[in-house]
Amino acid sequence: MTTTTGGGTPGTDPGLDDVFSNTVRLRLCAYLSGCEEADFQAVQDYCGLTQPTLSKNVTVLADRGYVAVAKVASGRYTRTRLRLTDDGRVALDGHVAALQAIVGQARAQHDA
Amino acid sequence: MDETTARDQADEALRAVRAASRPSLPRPLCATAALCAGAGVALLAQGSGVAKVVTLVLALALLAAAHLIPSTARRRRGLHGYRGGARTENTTFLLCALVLVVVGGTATAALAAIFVGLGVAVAVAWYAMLRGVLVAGGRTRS
Repeated sequence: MTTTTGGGTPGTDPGLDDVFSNTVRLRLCAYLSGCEEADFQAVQDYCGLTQPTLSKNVTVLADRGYVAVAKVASGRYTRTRLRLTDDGRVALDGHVAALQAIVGQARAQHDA
Repeated sequence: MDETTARDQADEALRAVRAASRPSLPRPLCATAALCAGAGVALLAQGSGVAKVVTLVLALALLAAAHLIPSTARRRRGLHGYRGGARTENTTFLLCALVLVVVGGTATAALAAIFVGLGVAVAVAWYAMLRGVLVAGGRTRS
């Protein structure tokens, strides 16, 4: 599998990361980019996903090195916390910049 | 990828970042924090002598509360720490507060009324920001 960190995947738009072609994963990473860490439950509430679905997406992102998962003791329970890694941030920034470039190009074509 | 999909995805990412940076908080909590911010600024230039020191300390406590109230609510929702634009905004707010404290601390009685007006403006702006109506830089959320 081709890993892209803002550099784009062959055959797709330059700069776009195939991981973020799934809107849920884009939303998840963008949400994590607004904070240092977020509880699994908070991300689940925001994304409106079931626990297994979110876990599956987090696993994909963790395998790519975009999201770090940590267990934190909280009283009698253990909380799962998610954090966007530096690689994840670079990839997300690159993807969003590529999206904005597509919008900008389309707008320029409309104006021309 | 077509333009519409790209725009939708970019908007989605922006909404998610904002939701984590400044989650929408309940009105009473926003109003309390806004009152603290406004009162804190208004008190900075009040009194003289010992009274000025007391009001200055009280003002600093209120300004700290204005920041801590929403931050604590955010942490309770499972969001820890700030990153990106929100962190830059917080640094800007801190610098503004420092300038106001220095100016207010050395201000004469003539400036007291101006600081009251400034306090009202700060309270309104703080409330709007916490409610997600106003984003730093004067842009409004769609």
